[in-house]
Amino acid sequence: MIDPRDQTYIDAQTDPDLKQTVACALARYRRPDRLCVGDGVPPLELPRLDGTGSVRLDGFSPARPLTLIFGSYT
Amino acid sequence: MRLYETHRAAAVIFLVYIAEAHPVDGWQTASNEEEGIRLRQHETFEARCAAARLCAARLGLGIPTLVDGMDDAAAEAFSAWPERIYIVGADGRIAFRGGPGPYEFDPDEASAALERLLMREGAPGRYSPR
Repeated sequence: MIDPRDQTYIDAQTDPDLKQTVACALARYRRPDRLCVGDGVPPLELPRLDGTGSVRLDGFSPARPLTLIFGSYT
Repeated sequence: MRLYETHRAAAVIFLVYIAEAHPVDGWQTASNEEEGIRLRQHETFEARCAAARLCAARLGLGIPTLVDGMDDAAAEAFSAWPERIYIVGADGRIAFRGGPGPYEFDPDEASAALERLLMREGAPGRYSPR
Protein backbone atom coordinates (compact mmCIF):
# COMPACT_ATOMS: atom_id res chain seq x y z
CA MET A 1 0.00 0.00 0.00
CA ILE A 2 1.35 3.40 -0.97
CA ASP A 3 1.81 5.89 1.86
CA PRO A 4 -0.38 8.91 1.03
CA ARG A 5 2.52 11.15 2.06
CA ASP A 6 4.65 9.85 -0.80
CA GLN A 7 4.85 11.54 -4.17
CA THR A 8 4.02 8.17 -5.71
CA TYR A 9 0.58 8.41 -4.11
CA ILE A 10 -0.04 11.73 -5.84
CA ASP A 11 1.29 10.37 -9.12
CA ALA A 12 -1.04 7.38 -8.86
CA GLN A 13 -4.17 9.55 -8.85
CA THR A 14 -5.91 9.32 -12.20
CA ASP A 15 -8.50 12.02 -11.65
CA PRO A 16 -6.79 15.36 -12.40
CA ASP A 17 -8.92 17.30 -9.93
CA LEU A 18 -8.28 14.82 -7.12
CA LYS A 19 -4.61 14.74 -7.99
CA GLN A 20 -4.43 18.52 -7.60
CA THR A 21 -6.41 18.39 -4.36
CA VAL A 22 -4.16 15.73 -2.87
CA ALA A 23 -1.04 17.59 -3.96
CA CYS A 24 -2.27 20.80 -2.32
CA ALA A 25 -3.21 18.96 0.88
CA LEU A 26 0.17 17.28 1.14
CA ALA A 27 1.96 20.56 0.42
CA ARG A 28 0.09 22.12 3.32
CA TYR A 29 0.88 19.12 5.49
CA ARG A 30 4.59 19.40 4.74
CA ARG A 31 4.99 23.12 5.46
CA PRO A 32 7.59 23.90 8.11
CA ASP A 33 6.30 24.37 11.64
CA ARG A 34 5.81 27.96 12.71
CA LEU A 35 6.04 27.31 16.44
CA CYS A 36 8.65 25.49 18.47
CA VAL A 37 8.82 24.33 22.07
CA GLY A 38 9.69 27.40 24.13
CA ASP A 39 7.84 29.85 21.91
CA GLY A 40 5.06 32.01 23.28
CA VAL A 41 1.48 31.31 22.29
CA PRO A 42 0.13 33.45 19.45
CA PRO A 43 -2.32 36.07 20.72
CA LEU A 44 -5.37 34.49 19.14
CA GLU A 45 -8.90 34.76 20.41
CA LEU A 46 -11.29 31.96 19.44
CA PRO A 47 -15.03 31.69 20.07
CA ARG A 48 -16.44 28.87 22.12
CA LEU A 49 -18.70 26.48 20.26
CA ASP A 50 -21.33 26.71 22.98
CA GLY A 51 -21.69 30.43 22.40
CA THR A 52 -20.51 31.47 25.85
CA GLY A 53 -17.92 33.93 24.66
CA SER A 54 -14.39 33.54 23.45
CA VAL A 55 -11.00 32.49 24.79
CA ARG A 56 -7.64 34.17 24.38
CA LEU A 57 -5.11 31.41 23.89
CA ASP A 58 -2.36 33.48 25.48
CA GLY A 59 -4.50 34.32 28.49
CA PHE A 60 -4.30 31.17 30.57
CA SER A 61 -0.88 31.18 32.18
CA PRO A 62 0.05 30.83 34.92
CA ALA A 63 -3.12 29.27 36.32
CA ARG A 64 -3.08 25.86 34.61
CA PRO A 65 -1.34 24.26 31.66
CA LEU A 66 -3.28 24.64 28.45
CA THR A 67 -3.77 21.72 26.09
CA LEU A 68 -5.04 22.34 22.58
CA ILE A 69 -6.28 19.44 20.47
CA PHE A 70 -6.70 20.60 16.89
CA GLY A 71 -8.79 18.56 14.49
CA SER A 72 -11.98 18.00 12.56
CA TYR A 73 -14.54 15.25 12.12
CA THR A 74 -13.13 14.05 8.82
CA MET B 1 -10.88 11.00 24.73
CA ARG B 2 -8.72 9.62 27.53
CA LEU B 3 -6.39 12.63 27.50
CA TYR B 4 -9.30 14.87 28.43
CA GLU B 5 -10.83 12.55 31.01
CA THR B 6 -7.50 12.02 32.74
CA HIS B 7 -6.31 15.60 32.93
CA ARG B 8 -9.40 17.81 32.83
CA ALA B 9 -9.04 18.75 36.51
CA ALA B 10 -5.39 19.72 36.34
CA ALA B 11 -5.23 21.33 32.92
CA VAL B 12 -7.34 23.51 30.69
CA ILE B 13 -8.14 21.39 27.66
CA PHE B 14 -9.81 22.55 24.48
CA LEU B 15 -10.64 20.90 21.21
CA VAL B 16 -10.02 23.45 18.48
CA TYR B 17 -12.24 22.68 15.52
CA ILE B 18 -10.45 23.55 12.29
CA ALA B 19 -10.99 23.03 8.57
CA GLU B 20 -11.99 19.52 7.51
CA ALA B 21 -9.17 17.17 6.62
CA HIS B 22 -11.11 15.07 4.16
CA PRO B 23 -14.24 16.82 2.94
CA VAL B 24 -16.36 15.22 0.25
CA ASP B 25 -15.62 18.15 -2.04
CA GLY B 26 -11.90 17.61 -1.48
CA TRP B 27 -9.91 14.52 -0.60
CA GLN B 28 -12.62 12.19 0.66
CA THR B 29 -11.33 8.93 2.07
CA ALA B 30 -12.73 5.44 1.64
CA SER B 31 -12.87 4.96 5.40
CA ASN B 32 -14.97 8.09 5.88
CA GLU B 33 -17.24 6.99 3.03
CA GLU B 34 -17.72 3.59 4.65
CA GLU B 35 -18.60 5.22 7.97
CA GLY B 36 -21.02 7.65 6.40
CA ILE B 37 -18.87 10.67 7.21
CA ARG B 38 -19.60 13.08 4.40
CA LEU B 39 -18.93 16.71 5.17
CA ARG B 40 -18.23 19.49 2.71
CA GLN B 41 -15.48 21.96 3.48
CA HIS B 42 -16.98 24.79 5.50
CA GLU B 43 -17.75 27.94 3.58
CA THR B 44 -19.13 29.82 6.55
CA PHE B 45 -18.38 29.99 10.26
CA GLU B 46 -21.88 28.68 10.95
CA ALA B 47 -21.15 25.60 8.81
CA ARG B 48 -17.92 25.04 10.74
CA CYS B 49 -19.81 25.23 14.03
CA ALA B 50 -22.44 22.80 12.71
CA ALA B 51 -19.69 20.34 11.75
CA ALA B 52 -18.15 20.69 15.21
CA ARG B 53 -21.50 19.96 16.86
CA LEU B 54 -22.06 16.95 14.61
CA CYS B 55 -18.59 15.65 15.43
CA ALA B 56 -19.13 16.04 19.17
CA ALA B 57 -22.53 14.36 19.03
CA ARG B 58 -21.53 11.40 16.88
CA LEU B 59 -18.27 10.73 18.73
CA GLY B 60 -19.72 11.44 22.15
CA LEU B 61 -17.09 14.07 22.88
CA GLY B 62 -17.56 16.22 25.95
CA ILE B 63 -14.48 18.35 25.41
CA PRO B 64 -14.95 22.13 25.55
CA THR B 65 -14.56 23.29 21.99
CA LEU B 66 -13.22 26.42 20.36
CA VAL B 67 -13.78 27.13 16.69
CA ASP B 68 -11.12 28.43 14.34
CA GLY B 69 -12.15 31.35 12.18
CA MET B 70 -12.67 31.13 8.46
CA ASP B 71 -9.23 32.64 7.99
CA ASP B 72 -7.87 29.45 9.60
CA ALA B 73 -5.69 31.68 11.77
CA ALA B 74 -5.25 29.14 14.57
CA ALA B 75 -4.57 26.21 12.26
CA GLU B 76 -2.03 28.30 10.38
CA ALA B 77 -0.31 29.75 13.46
CA PHE B 78 0.08 26.32 15.03
CA SER B 79 0.68 24.43 11.76
CA ALA B 80 -2.11 22.28 13.10
CA TRP B 81 -4.00 21.07 10.04
CA PRO B 82 -5.17 18.33 9.74
CA GLU B 83 -4.77 17.47 13.45
CA ARG B 84 -2.25 18.16 16.16
CA ILE B 85 -1.80 18.57 19.92
CA TYR B 86 0.03 21.36 21.75
CA ILE B 87 0.58 21.89 25.47
CA VAL B 88 1.34 25.31 26.93
CA GLY B 89 3.08 25.50 30.29
CA ALA B 90 2.43 27.81 33.21
CA ASP B 91 5.01 30.19 31.80
CA GLY B 92 2.80 30.72 28.77
CA ARG B 93 5.24 29.02 26.46
CA ILE B 94 4.82 25.91 24.39
CA ALA B 95 5.96 22.93 26.42
CA PHE B 96 4.96 20.18 24.00
CA ARG B 97 4.35 20.07 20.29
CA GLY B 98 2.90 16.84 19.01
CA GLY B 99 3.48 15.61 15.51
CA PRO B 100 1.04 16.31 12.69
CA GLY B 101 -1.77 13.84 12.25
CA PRO B 102 -2.90 11.44 11.31
CA TYR B 103 0.40 9.56 11.29
CA GLU B 104 2.04 11.37 14.19
CA PHE B 105 -1.08 12.33 16.14
CA ASP B 106 -0.52 10.65 19.49
CA PRO B 107 -2.78 11.57 22.43
CA ASP B 108 -0.97 9.10 24.68
CA GLU B 109 2.34 10.85 24.02
CA ALA B 110 0.68 14.19 24.78
CA SER B 111 -0.85 12.80 27.95
CA ALA B 112 2.56 11.62 29.15
CA ALA B 113 4.05 15.03 28.34
CA LEU B 114 1.30 16.75 30.29
CA GLU B 115 1.92 14.50 33.28
CA ARG B 116 5.61 15.36 33.19
CA LEU B 117 4.79 19.05 32.97
CA LEU B 118 2.44 18.87 35.94
CA MET B 119 5.06 17.07 37.98
CA ARG B 120 7.71 19.61 37.02
CA GLU B 121 5.62 22.71 37.57
CA GLY B 122 4.16 21.65 40.87
CA ALA B 123 1.50 19.54 42.47
CA PRO B 124 -1.77 19.39 40.56
CA GLY B 125 -3.44 21.09 43.48
CA ARG B 126 -1.51 24.22 42.63
CA TYR B 127 -3.64 24.71 39.60
CA SER B 128 -7.10 26.06 40.03
CA PRO B 129 -9.72 26.93 37.45
CA ARG B 130 -10.17 30.57 36.61
